[in-house]
Amino acid sequence: MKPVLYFLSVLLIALSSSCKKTQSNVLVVHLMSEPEDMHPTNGASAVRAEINLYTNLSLLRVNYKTGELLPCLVKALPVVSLDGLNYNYELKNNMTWDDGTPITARDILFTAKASKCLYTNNPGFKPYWENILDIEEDPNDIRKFTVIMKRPYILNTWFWTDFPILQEAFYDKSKTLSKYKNAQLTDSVFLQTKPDVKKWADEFNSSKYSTDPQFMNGGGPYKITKWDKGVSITLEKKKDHWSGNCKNDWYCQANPDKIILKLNSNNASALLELKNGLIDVSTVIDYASFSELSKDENFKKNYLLKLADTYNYTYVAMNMKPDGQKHKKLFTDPDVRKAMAMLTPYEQINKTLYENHNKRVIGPISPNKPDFNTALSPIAFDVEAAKDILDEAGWTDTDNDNIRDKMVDGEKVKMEFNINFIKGSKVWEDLGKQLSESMGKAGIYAMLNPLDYNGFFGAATGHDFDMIIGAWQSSAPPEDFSQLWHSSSWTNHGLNFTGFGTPQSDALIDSINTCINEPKRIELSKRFQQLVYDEQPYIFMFTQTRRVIVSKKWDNLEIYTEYPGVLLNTLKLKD
Amino acid sequence: MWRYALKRFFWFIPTLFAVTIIGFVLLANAPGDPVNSLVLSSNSGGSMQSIKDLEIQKKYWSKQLGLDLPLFYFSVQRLSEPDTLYKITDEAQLKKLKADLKINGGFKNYIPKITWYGFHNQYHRWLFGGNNSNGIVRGDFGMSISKKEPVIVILKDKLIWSLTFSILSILLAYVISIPIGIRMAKDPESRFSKISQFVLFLLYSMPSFFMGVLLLMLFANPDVLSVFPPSGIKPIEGYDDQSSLFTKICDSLPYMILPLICYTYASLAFISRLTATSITEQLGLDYIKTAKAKGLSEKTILWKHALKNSALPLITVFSSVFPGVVGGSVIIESIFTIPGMGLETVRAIISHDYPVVIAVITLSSVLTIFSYLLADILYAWVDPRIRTY
Repeated sequence: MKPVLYFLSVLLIALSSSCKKTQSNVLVVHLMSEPEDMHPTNGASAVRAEINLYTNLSLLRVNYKTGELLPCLVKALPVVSLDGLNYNYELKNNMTWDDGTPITARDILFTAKASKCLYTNNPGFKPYWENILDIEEDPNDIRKFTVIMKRPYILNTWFWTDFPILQEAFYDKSKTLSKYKNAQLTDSVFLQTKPDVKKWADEFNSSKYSTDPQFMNGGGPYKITKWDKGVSITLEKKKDHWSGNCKNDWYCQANPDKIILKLNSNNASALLELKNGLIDVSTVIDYASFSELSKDENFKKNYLLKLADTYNYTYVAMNMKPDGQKHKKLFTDPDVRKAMAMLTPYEQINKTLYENHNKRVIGPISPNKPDFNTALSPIAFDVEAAKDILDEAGWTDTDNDNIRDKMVDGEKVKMEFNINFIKGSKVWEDLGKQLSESMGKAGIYAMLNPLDYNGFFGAATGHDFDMIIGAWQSSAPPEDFSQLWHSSSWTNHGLNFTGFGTPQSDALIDSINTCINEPKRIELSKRFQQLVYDEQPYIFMFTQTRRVIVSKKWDNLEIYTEYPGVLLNTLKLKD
Repeated sequence: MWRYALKRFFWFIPTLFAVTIIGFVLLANAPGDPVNSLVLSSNSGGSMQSIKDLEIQKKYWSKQLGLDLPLFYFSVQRLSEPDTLYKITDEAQLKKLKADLKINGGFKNYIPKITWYGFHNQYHRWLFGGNNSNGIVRGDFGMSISKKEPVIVILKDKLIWSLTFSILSILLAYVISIPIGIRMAKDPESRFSKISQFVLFLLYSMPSFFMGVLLLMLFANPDVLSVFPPSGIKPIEGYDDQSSLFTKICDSLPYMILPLICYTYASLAFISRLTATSITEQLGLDYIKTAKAKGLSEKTILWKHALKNSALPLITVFSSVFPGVVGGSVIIESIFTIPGMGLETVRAIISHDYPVVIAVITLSSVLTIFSYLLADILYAWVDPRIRTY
């Protein structure tokens, strides 16, 4: 027996030495999911956008401290023409690509053409480029150019923050796109006669630009050097990057020599990785693990734990325009929708599901944004008041079966419905249960209906639902309400699931979208929030809180509301 | 023997064909629309998505993905429906149109119609290629819709880890459980047998998610014992570029032990009990008594005679476990962050990445068929009487 024990002891000691921590100035970051791809134009995941912050550069960036626009590749914010259609930019001097060639207006023009080209595999992003009519280079200065837009729009400058600038010489060596105008590249009939564009697009869309680090080229201070699928992504600091001269701006900084984004989608093992000191930064661990770690005094000696606000929020949407057949007219009355909001046990949900970390939202604008309407007060949980409202709205229990009913269009309709949510999320399932239980107290029968993502999304855009639980991600730029709230987005099966919208609200949205006078836009936005508040198409729940955990080995930590919350390139290893 | 094997092999070809058709049709009719997933960005804030542009994009990508083609060589539909319905790729539009046609169809709603579309259909393209694909008959499963990467490239990486864990766990399970089973059968009343029975029962009844978390909490937890890394399959910074295969195995070994225990324990418990029961049955038979009377050693009787004759159920178990190597284990892969087939398959199903799902179905079917074939051959080898059936 003794030799076996001896052998096992030696084995355990040998194996324990395998839990190697990384070398100095290497930052290990917890990733919950890896990007589907890292193509410069064709990917869509949030993680890809985060990596692009360090590996690519855009014309403009977000100033994370103020939530305002920050010039990045350009010297200053653009000079805008009086009609709000022409935007004049000038690129900074001495900016170069990795091969030493300068970044010029030609690269900006190529980026727009590559993104707009019909053959480029980025359908989800094409609409963002749709408003660009053309980009004119200054014939006398390779750094000056004018972006001509089709119509004034609040995001005409902001949209550049989302898109990396591409090097023409890397992605289009034969300069195929330069032969064509912007409009030609979006004309399907014209393109049918241009096999060279198809050939370019096939090459550009190919997976090598999505997955092979050798073919990932960007202007940022870091480069992806290794992508171990399902395991980790390694970013390495470039040597002699031009941004070394502008250390004041966050996008130029490159303090860690290496940033390793380590995938771990399981909260239990991620918690142990943190406890073992194998991860330096996490902003994605679940609420329960965060609470557990914040009670661990030993852990807190080595790690800093902070909660940070985000612009994201959770909601419960109600079908305001049901077909009346499959889905009865339950929520067509704003008073009934308000009663539903009053039946939501906010405090209980926040305490039991979010460890009291989340904050209430009142409407579609985050309280962290300048246009948040402070005059609106949150609807409080009040079962008795909700019962009274439902009684007044004609929803009473006429047949004593404990479920409210009402005669609607000559038919007796019971207040019973499904609550759809995406299956797999325990938090949403529990949220649905608490909601259903609370509504039950007021004579409403709500059943939970878990669906896979496609089923959920299909039902929501197809208006095939009564009530759904969902969440929206948002960010610092001014809000374009048309996608979620314009009636055309309901008619055309877009993201306006509920059917919210009147000619008045549509006109207000259109005015907001074209208003480039900021104080005026804020005023209009507040009016729109009041409209949404009066209609209550959603039960507005909570802003989602980011759980930030950072090893005390790292200094210079600042936490922001804007995604990703922590800028990894700015963290400095303590001496 | 070879004739028998060949005969079995030819039976499997139509089975494989049928499996691919069923898989393809099921997936094509699953809820959700891959074009919608592709076209609609999930970001909510700050977009100026114009609906007209969206429709153009949807049509374009439906065409690119071949979703505007008929699903199969033929279709069976109502006489009231036109045979070009497949051209409408928008689900909501199609649903509405079908409802309208039904209302106006009258008696034609009750008469079935078969329409022949020829070879220009989605299934044929998937099988034999076309539009940038070589077809699965040439080993090309097409491109992943969500990852925009060849399916075979995606699956190759995942398959390596799933195969490694599954094959190792099958080997370990058999290598450990057969001696345990034999020892239990040799003396069922011994202390070893009683303890083993209890432990094996306990192991068999434990769900893998519980076992996985338990192992982590016991052996990867600095509050208890931090011996193994809690997640991943290799060191954080990866393997050195110059590493030999042996070095890579040594680097990955600590990461593999807990998942391997998790992969193995349930089948180990099951196979041990099965071996013990089968051998106990054999030990009561006349030929064992004869062997004992002839003076053969206990070891020879157990390992050479009793084990061979009780091997049929073990082969059956093998043939049912082996196809699972392609499927991987979602739970174990999720707990230990193993980039295997289980998680990839779930991801593909959720994101409606049907080329990946069909590839997994096809690979699983091929492996199932192969394992049945192997089992049939092994049956015939263990018991020559089977060849005559």
